[in-house]
Amino acid sequence: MSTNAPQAPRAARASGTSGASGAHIGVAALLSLVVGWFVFDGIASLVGLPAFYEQLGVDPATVPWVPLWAGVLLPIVSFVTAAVIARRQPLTRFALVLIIALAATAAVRLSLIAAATGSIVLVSRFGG
Amino acid sequence: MPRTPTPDDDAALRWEQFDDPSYGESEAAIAARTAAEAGDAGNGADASSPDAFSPGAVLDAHTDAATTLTRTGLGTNLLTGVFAVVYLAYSVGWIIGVGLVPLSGPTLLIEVMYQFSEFLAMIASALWFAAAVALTRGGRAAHRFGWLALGTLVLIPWPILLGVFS
Repeated sequence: MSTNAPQAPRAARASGTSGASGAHIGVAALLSLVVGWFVFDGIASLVGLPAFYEQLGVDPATVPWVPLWAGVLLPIVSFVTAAVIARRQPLTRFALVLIIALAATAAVRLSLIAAATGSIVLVSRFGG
Repeated sequence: MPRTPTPDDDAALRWEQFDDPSYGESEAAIAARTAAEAGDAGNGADASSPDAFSPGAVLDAHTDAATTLTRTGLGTNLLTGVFAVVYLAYSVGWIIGVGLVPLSGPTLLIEVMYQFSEFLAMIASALWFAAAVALTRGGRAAHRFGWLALGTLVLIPWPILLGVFS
């Protein structure tokens, strides 16, 4: 009897964590809609920017492939990383960490867009 | 009828199980104990003297420990303040830099999503700083400063920097 007593709080903590996982998944699913938008926009840029370069008659070798691919992969990687890091946190902290991951993704994405469009400006200024 | 004492009757009065999750020693207690032990060792050198134990030495040791902790807290607050200034500059940089990125959507929905992502970028620095400070409160200072340092690398406002450089 006495040997089972210390295990009771551990079992309660474990059941509390597993009970909150449904809400965690719901929050993650809701916020993943924004991730889906980021990925969709990244794919649109990945497809559209090389075509735009070709339309301008710019050398295809100057297409900024690294920012374009990063714009597709970064939202997924950062969101999954944040979800893994905060998976054992309470629901409010879990949601906060995911929102911060989305905000950081938006900031980095704007940096990538600035880098990509900066290359367009430089090409049209010096190459075209 | 008197109960026969068992050998382990006093087990509940000891802290022998250090892996017990309810056992914890605060930083203040650790520092005070370390300083007190150092004071005892110093007194042990002249243990032959009649006044080998002096309550004043223990009091001084505790005072030194408290001073050390105060200095540590002051350093943590000072470094957090430095990071706050950096993150404030980042927020201003993003608020200005968002206007330098030419984003416009062909439809209303895409335009709204662009505006939303620009808003997220503007509040990202403030959110990261507030969360790093709030979620690491009461924890190790290295964790807080590690997350804050990572944020200063991730959230560099490249649009305004590129605009300045070009």
